[in-house]
Amino acid sequence: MYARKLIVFALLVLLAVLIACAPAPTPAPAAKKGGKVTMAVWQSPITLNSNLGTQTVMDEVNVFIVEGFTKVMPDGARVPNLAKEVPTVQNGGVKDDGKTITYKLKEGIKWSDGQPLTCADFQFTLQAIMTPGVGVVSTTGYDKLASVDCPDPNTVVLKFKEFYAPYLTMFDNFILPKHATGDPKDMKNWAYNRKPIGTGPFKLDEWVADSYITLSRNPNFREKDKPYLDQVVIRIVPSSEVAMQLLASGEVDIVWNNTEADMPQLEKMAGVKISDPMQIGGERLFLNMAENKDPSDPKKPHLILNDVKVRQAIEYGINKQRIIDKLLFGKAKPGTNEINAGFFQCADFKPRGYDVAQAKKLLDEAGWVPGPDGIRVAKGAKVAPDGTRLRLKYSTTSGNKLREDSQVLIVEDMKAIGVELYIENAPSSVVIGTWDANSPRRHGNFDIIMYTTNAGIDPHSQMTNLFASWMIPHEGNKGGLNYTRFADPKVDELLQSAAKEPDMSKRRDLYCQIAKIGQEATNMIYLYQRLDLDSYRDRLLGWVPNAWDNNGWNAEEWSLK
Amino acid sequence: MSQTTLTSPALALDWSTRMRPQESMRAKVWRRFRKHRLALAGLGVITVFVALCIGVPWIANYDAGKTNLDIMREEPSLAHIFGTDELGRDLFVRLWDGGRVSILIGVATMLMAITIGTTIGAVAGFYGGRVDNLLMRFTDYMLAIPQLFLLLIFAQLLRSTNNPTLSGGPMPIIIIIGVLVWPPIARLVRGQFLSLKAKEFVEAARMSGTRNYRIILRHVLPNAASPIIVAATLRVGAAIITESTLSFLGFGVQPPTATWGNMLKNAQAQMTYAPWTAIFPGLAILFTVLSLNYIGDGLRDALDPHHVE
Amino acid sequence: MTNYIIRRIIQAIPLLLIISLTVFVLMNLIPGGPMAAYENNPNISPEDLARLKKELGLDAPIHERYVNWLFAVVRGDWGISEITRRPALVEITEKLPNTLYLSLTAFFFALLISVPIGILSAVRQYSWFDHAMTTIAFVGQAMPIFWFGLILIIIFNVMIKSPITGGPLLPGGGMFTIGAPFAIEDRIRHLILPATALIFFSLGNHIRYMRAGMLDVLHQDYIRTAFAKGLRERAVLAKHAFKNAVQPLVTIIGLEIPGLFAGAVITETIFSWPGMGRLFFNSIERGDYAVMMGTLMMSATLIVLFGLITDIVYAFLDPRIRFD
Repeated sequence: MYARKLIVFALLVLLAVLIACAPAPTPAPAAKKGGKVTMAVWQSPITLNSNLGTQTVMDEVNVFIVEGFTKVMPDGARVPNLAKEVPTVQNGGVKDDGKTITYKLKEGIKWSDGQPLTCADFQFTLQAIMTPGVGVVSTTGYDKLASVDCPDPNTVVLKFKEFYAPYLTMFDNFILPKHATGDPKDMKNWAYNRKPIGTGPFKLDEWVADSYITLSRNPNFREKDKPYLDQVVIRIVPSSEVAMQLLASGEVDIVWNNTEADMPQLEKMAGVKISDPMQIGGERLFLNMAENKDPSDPKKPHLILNDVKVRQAIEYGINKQRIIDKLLFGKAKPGTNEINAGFFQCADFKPRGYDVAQAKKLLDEAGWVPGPDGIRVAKGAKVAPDGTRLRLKYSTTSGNKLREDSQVLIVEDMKAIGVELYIENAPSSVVIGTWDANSPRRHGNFDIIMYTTNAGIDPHSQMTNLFASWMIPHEGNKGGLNYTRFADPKVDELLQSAAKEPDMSKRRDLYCQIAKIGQEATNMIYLYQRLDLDSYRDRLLGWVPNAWDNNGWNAEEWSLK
Repeated sequence: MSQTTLTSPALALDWSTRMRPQESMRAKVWRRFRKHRLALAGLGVITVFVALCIGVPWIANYDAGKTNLDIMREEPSLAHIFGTDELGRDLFVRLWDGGRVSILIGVATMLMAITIGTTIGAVAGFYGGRVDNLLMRFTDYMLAIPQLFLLLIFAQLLRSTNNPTLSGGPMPIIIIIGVLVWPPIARLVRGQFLSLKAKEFVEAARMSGTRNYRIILRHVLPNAASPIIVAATLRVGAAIITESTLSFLGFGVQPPTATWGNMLKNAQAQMTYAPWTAIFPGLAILFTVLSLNYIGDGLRDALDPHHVE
Repeated sequence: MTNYIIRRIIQAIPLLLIISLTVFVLMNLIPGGPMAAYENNPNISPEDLARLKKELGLDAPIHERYVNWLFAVVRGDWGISEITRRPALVEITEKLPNTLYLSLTAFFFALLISVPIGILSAVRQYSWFDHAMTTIAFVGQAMPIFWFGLILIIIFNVMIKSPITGGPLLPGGGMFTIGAPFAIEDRIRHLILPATALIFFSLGNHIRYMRAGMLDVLHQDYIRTAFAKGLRERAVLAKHAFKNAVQPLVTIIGLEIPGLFAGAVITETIFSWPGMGRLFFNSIERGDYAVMMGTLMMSATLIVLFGLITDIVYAFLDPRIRFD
């Protein structure tokens, strides 16, 4: 039953990909010109300068306005956007062991104010990002660049100090216009932050804080006759329940960021479509392999969870499909491993099925025998002294209903195999806090923590963060992100090779080997892979779901029925 | 609580002059209260609700916290008269489970607010002068900051502590509401005390050397009781509404503890396809607060010394 | 009289100072502050965090920051939002008119409805009219406004269609149709649902006060005397009672002022109304110190100011009150 669903799903994905990638067989005249589309967002943007903000809604607005060298298609393939082609070793764009990357810009690209886009803008963008003291949120990757060279206005050469594996993510979603910004030192106060200028299909007309943003057709957009729409309005509707009603009544055309719980309502709404591409990564349990103490010594084993058999038993004992069917309305997929979508997706990964007998068998083997109340106690276990109760603390971020509900189910599942979980949740600011804020996640003061994290389109940093032994957080490495305290010399070696590998396919193989080792070691239990859910009215044509980008990633193709 | 104060000797003494001698104060208030039909009905509703909140765990077949994913979001039926919620929990049982917490929040915050407000108001009104000035400035201070703003600041503060008893359950909500809503009561009590302390019976007590705290507790307070009782009744309902407001903004009591407020908040998203999950908690709040308001109204009329018969 | 006003204003200054100090301290006790968004972002390294903290001036001790804030405010500088990089005063003056526009309209209509109802209810105490009106008023108060608001939207935006345009009968949020030219009719249509929610909510209090005030007056000796003299009911009410019953009205105004400036957080959330309540809520969520302080102090100042005005109006209405 499940396999059949999967096949159908795979076929659908394939179909979607084919449609999306097909060299536009339908000519432009089919689309009607003009009209206005309104998108409801529940989050209120605070800045539109991608260097200064971290909100998802910021990218959701910016995608209409600003662009980068390349963009990512629904299937995870990178295609040229401002650049003529994606640089590869084969086409001569990647040279010098991957340390010199050359992009050729498409001819005649203009900013929405009519000024030409040139290589100098890329130089300026790098300079702005690397200017100290301006509050740029992340300099990751850009700090590896020695310079941006401009042999001519239409050629951009990135010179890296050392090889940086995700080099394609540099300048891939925004470029700052040199002429329409200001002194980088004053970046926080640029007028640009509230009125960005870009090369995208739309330009910003008006932004009334906490109320709405209006965008209109960029007259200087490089593709003739596009975009089809005259206007895109982004309306801040703080209550998502209200946004759904406005979608039902037709007052808005798009509702951004739906949840699975909205599905029954949306499926019943006449004239409404659901966009649901599969996302990478997903909700998982982090199992602490090292001692549970504040702060923990990563070299000391966790009393219970250090034994791989116990960890695997826990995964066998969790009925992932039940969580998906009952809490996610079937709108998700059981989790398997870290890289479960996109170019880097690892093939032939099977989810570890729900198998109570196997779970019990593993626990028996691991030296945990059922006690008088059904909860197991240690008798010859790997680390735990005899008589230790199989009882673990299970935490997640409080206030998240889906997480709290799924905890209820997992606690039930675990009880059935003789594992006792007790819930102790904390606000996300605590769970996801810093070392100095005594976050239990960083200090290692936990048994099981549950939340979601995703790799980007390039999983380089995610894989390193989660599996590298040098990423284990401790007093001397407060920023470490390897919370499970997973350490394997083989994996460290593979990660180091991957970091030096310019060939993407080879790099993928390396990551997949790590993912395989990870699945076997079960330092994390991938519960489910979620869909990226949005909804829109069917009068809007040209919408193509893309989990790798924001809703408006192809807004120039949008039109009204 | 109200009955003991009402029958205290001082109260009976003062009012007895206006009463038919054969009728006790309690009987008189009850007789007048009964005339307010809606107040009487309100009292009935509250009695039934409280009885259900206390009694349902004993009589119901369903363990309220028990999830049953085979019967998620079932319409009201004979087996589940109010239907089931998104985890298959029986809504009837859960409603009274939540009611227990909501009513607890209402009553506990009322007691806190009345205690603080009465103390401050009584001391200020009775002693007057500099004490009065100081306490009333403090009251002004509390009133000058929009209440919801303060509530939100405190809620955010408590929420961000890593202490589970302080960041999840009803306790923090009770504390923040109770600590913040007393100023109007303080003003009310102060006003009563100001006018009462000049009365002859207070003078008489003073002359006979009774200590101040005794005068306040035994002589003045019972005579100021009726407006306090009315205010107390209304406070319970107001706190139930406030809890639901905080829940809506994400600052309320955290699941799995049910309250009417967070049940209603959670039901918002499924209002169109499982309306019963939103309707019953909504009606429970509506009827409870409505009844309390009527009771307050009835008490006001019944306790009014100027009441015209 | 002048002396009294001056004294009250002088008294208000330490009050506002204490408020600002406590709120500043409370605000800083909330972990995260403007850094919260960055701290929750896994892509930002601890080095970046330390750097950002310094750049935002958050590494100075709290008393130093409070004094800086205070002196700046005295000079008329309410600070720049650490989050949006806009002056806090701009954020506030942008939202305050929206809030007043909604809440004053609602307040006005609530009074318009509740005054006659309150009077009639008092005169006809325990009549079916009294019961019906108090029930309606209480129902409004007894419903969580977010629940009522959503029901209003479902009925008037989703279920009922306009017979003219075929679209929704009433807009489900916002202050006007975005992108359309200014039109009074459009503004009014957007005002109807949020104002209805607010009116319905405040009606209970208004009617209660009006009714109670009127009852008090009716039981006064001089009214009884007037009735005893055989004056016709309407004449008594108009001439004697109403004048005195205006006092509770003034009390209502005094009580409602805080709500008016603070904005209605829930109503503004449900109806996507960009007002002070929403601004404050956002500032708490974002840890936006300047805006949080600004909205609070602005409302506190206005509340104190209008408290004073109410007291003066009282004095004019009731010559027995003396300023000493």
